Amino acid sequence: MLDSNFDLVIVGAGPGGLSAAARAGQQGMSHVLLEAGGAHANTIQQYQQHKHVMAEPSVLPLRSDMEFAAGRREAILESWERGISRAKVNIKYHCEVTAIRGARGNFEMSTKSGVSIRGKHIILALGVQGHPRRVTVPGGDLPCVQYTLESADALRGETIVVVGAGDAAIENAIALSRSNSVILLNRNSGFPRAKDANAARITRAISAGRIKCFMHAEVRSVQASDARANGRQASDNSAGAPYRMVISTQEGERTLAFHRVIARLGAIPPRQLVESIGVRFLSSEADALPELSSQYESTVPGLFVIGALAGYPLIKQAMNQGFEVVEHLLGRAVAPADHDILRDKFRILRGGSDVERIVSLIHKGLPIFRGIQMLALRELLLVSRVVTPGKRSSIFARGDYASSIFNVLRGEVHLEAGGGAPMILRGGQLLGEMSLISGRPHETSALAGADCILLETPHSAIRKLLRTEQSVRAYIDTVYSLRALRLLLMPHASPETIHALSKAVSLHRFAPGAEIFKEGDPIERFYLVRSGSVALSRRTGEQDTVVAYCAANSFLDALGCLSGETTRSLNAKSMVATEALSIDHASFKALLKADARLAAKMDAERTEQLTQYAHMQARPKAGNVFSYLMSHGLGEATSVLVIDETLCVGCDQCEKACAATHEGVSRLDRSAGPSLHSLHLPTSCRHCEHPHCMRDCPPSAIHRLPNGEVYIDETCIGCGNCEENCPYGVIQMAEKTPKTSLFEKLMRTKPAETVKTAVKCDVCASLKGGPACVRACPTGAAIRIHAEDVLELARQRAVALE
Amino acid sequence: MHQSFINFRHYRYGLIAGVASLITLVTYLLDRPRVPPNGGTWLGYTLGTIAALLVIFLALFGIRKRSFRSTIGTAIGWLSAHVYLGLAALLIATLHSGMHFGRNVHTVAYVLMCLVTLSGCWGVYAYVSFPGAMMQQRGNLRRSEFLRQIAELDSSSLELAESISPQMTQLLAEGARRTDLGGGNLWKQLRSRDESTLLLGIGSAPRRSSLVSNANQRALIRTLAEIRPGRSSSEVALSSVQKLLELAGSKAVLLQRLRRETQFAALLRIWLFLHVPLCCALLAALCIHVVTVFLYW
Ligand SMILES: Cc1cc2nc3c(=O)[nH]c(=O)nc-3n(C[C@H](O)[C@H](O)[C@H](O)COP(=O)(O)OP(=O)(O)OC[C@H]3O[C@@H](n4cnc5c(N)ncnc54)[C@H](O)[C@@H]3O)c2cc1C
Ligand code: SF4
Ligand code: SF4
Repeated sequence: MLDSNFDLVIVGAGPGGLSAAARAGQQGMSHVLLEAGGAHANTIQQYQQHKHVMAEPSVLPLRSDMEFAAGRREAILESWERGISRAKVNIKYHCEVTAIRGARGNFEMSTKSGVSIRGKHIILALGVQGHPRRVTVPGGDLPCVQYTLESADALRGETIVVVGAGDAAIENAIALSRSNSVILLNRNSGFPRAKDANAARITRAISAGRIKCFMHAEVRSVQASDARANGRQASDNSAGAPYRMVISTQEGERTLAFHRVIARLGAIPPRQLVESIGVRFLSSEADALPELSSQYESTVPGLFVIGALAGYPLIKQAMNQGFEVVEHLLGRAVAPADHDILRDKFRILRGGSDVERIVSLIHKGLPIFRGIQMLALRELLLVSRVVTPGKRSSIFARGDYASSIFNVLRGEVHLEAGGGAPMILRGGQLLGEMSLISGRPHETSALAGADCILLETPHSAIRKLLRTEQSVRAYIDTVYSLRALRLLLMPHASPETIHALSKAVSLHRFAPGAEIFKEGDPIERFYLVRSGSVALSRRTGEQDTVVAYCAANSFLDALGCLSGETTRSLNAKSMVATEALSIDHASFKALLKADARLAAKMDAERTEQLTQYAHMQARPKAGNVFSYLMSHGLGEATSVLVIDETLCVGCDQCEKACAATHEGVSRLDRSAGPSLHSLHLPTSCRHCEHPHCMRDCPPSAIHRLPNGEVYIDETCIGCGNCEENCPYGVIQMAEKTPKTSLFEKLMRTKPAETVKTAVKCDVCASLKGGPACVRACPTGAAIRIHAEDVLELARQRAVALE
Repeated sequence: MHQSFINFRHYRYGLIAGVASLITLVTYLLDRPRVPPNGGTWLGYTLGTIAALLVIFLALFGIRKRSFRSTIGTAIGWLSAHVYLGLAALLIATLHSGMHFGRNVHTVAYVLMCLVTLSGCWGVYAYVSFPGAMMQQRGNLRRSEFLRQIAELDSSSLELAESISPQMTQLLAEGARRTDLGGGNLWKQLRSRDESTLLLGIGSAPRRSSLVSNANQRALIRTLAEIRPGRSSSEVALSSVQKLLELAGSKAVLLQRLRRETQFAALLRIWLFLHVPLCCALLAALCIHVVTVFLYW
């Protein structure tokens, strides 16, 4: 194979690469498929045994010479194995590509084993799993250094060094410490990268002496011990340990004797390799996607990127793309696999059968999408809907939680806020952006005008674009400022005034817990909270007393800004990730002077804030309760279970009710979770304003209903991303018994698959009376509250505690 | 925001029950039957019917509590009604009897009703006062947290002991193994006795070793306290023993708190073992009472 030259080199034998290679093999194209591992489809090989692999999106047809249908992991891998020989795929294992050079017609790749391969075209199907970051010191390649831990229970009585400080390292260290002596090496001093729960667990384990930890420590070298060096070691179970390592710590170098190293240093994303040859990415963000043409060709001609790496996180998509790219290389025009689905979607539009034309009309006609790639737009359209609401029918109502945004394709939409004339939106304009940003219910109601046609796009799809596409972000930001100024600040002002004002607006982003301003700071800006929440506090004596809480769409310290003072009399701190708009204080004052209606509105705001402050200030204890509740995510909750421990008799009726109404699996763990001030927060979904779990769900299986509830539908493929992403640890991957047909039941064939899917609280959407947990609690201890009720709860609790 | 079953909806059922009781009482006092008041007058029959219906309603709570999909009210509403109407039912039944008691099935039904109400009252008392008391004494620790901390103390002690001597290690390992965490059957949970034991004299001839009670870690603490600097023990070992004593002390405190917590939890459950069977007996007696009344009519 040395220095061989191929028409096509495919890197990565996952579903994408396999499908491409199978097409090339089938068509007799000269090709090679390079796979880093010792077997095909490494990612799928690593799924849990017997996992039920899903073939989402179910509407998308499969186009590949490889077979693929939903089924057991083992069966799928076997069928691909057969496919490899049937299609005469030229696959080479243990060929990890480490560098790519050259240009179309003459690419050259080198592999880790030192082989180099030439090819005219390249398809990169590397997936996104990446490679574990390795220990690169002398001896780092000894067999005692591992990068995965299959089962902690299999190891006993060893001295094990765990390197790393992320969730994987912590979880491994804790699991191993049950029957081994564990030493943890942390390059830093804390565990900022880990989830809070994990950081707390490991800190406890270290302080209890169950795990020994070296901070600011790095491995210098690893080697096999010579027997005599061991003899001198003391009585612990590192005696006879076959290896030694030298580590550097702040106190100097040390030698450790051990049996095994588990290095959990994170993965090197494949992006580096892809970027090194000059492929441009859409932004510098970690999860940015490469820039691709409609044929998946990157900015380096002749180099194609497909599959998860190209931003398509499902097996079927990857397989289709592999097929399509090879067809394209063979000079055949292929209509993309989504063609028929889009045609069905567009059927209601005039000339809807010409999919390409409609797609490009949308691309040109909707300013929000003008800057994005055609491929990204198609993917977005695949999950969007074209809707034609009748005249005067409601598109969304004020107070409803949103789960999608709308673009007006034709006709008009009337946007009605509390007072004033409705705002009229026409073709090309966007609605629903305020809820998208705030995560809160709609501030307006939208009614359809005559002949109205809308494109409805789910939040999850738009959020993905917001993360990766600067142009979409900029557009939505602008629209948001204009609308927010008009709806929240000056409903009476002319569009020109608003426009002029919006030029002076700046956008601020605050991390959770960031200080926005403090007592004594000069008042420079007037803030409007756009998303997240902020606590305002005042220092009384030794402690901070929380006096108010500002959620999205509220004004921060309007009181101070209106008081005529020049310095702040309050501290403002963000409770969760928060965004705010601001205008400078001088312009704001000028505006107030010129606009009597604004002045009156602000005056009302002031009265409200004053009353609230007075209530809270009288109860300093309420501030403590409030801070506790906020620190556990209640600031972004739309419905969270809070148990009053002075009422809870521990009968577990809430849990029983949950299990009884949800296939026997309780989605809440009453006894787990934090308690303070006699308020207990069981481990249960908070139905966040911006659900973290929705991020990175490959089949977009997580949705929210108008009442705010976040739920997971049956297209979940069980990848576990949401479980990772939820900061409150409320999602479980639970086994589901797959439905068996009557025939199977009669034949008693047991399904040999494990169907694990994500389950969590769905606030009993399917039950008439509402959440079963609350309704089953006989003592009134369990209630559900919204972020806006937190302050009141804290106040009442303070009264009860006094 | 939180409301208890006592003040549910501003004492709605309390008021209803109160008003109903008052009306019955006034009617009873105003009633001038030809015979002394008893179950056989028209008022007696009316009150009897009301009381019987109430008892059936009260018993239905047991079913509603387990029907998690039911949309007929909420569990807290039902409990609130159960408590207040239960009290009213006893009053009504008393008036129904006209204070005629004897050695018969009718009186048995009445006595059972009193017992059911009494056990229920104890239940109300427990539900109202124990959760708060429990919370006070366990602080913000949950049961699992207690167990975890105890396990942590054990493993720290063991680690220390290993640095002293194999005998010490064995002593502590045995102590940890024979610690009574206060679980077991309901009776044990209620009694809340520390049945931890300790094996003394390890390492000597097997017959000389003895198993003694280690309630509140007392035996362990004494054994540790008796260690004197000997030939073999160094300064380091003595300070380790001191540390072991502290750990044992903390463990004793944790165990005690855990046991109290367990006891409270048991107390919150135990009365139901009385209340529910008594209630079943009452229903049976009530049936017989009604049937016999109609037979002899
Ligand atoms: C737990 C879990 C469950 C999932 N369940 C489902 C499901 O039920 N249904 C579904 O449709 N999707 C599922 N997915 C998603 C699915 O696995 C991916 O979308 C799919 O594997 C992407 O395919 P790919 O070809 O792009 O990349 P991958 O499958 O990741 O394949 C990449 C291949 O490239 C190799 N490689 C990487 N770098 C190099 C290199 N430098 N040189 C040579 N070779 C290299 C790798 O070893 C690997 O074999 C799941 C994902 C996870 C994590
Ligand atoms: S699962 Fe987690 S992230 Fe998602 S809504 Fe619930 S609490 Fe929020
Ligand atoms: S496990 Fe979570 S992220 Fe993955 S598919 Fe299911 S719902 Fe989506």
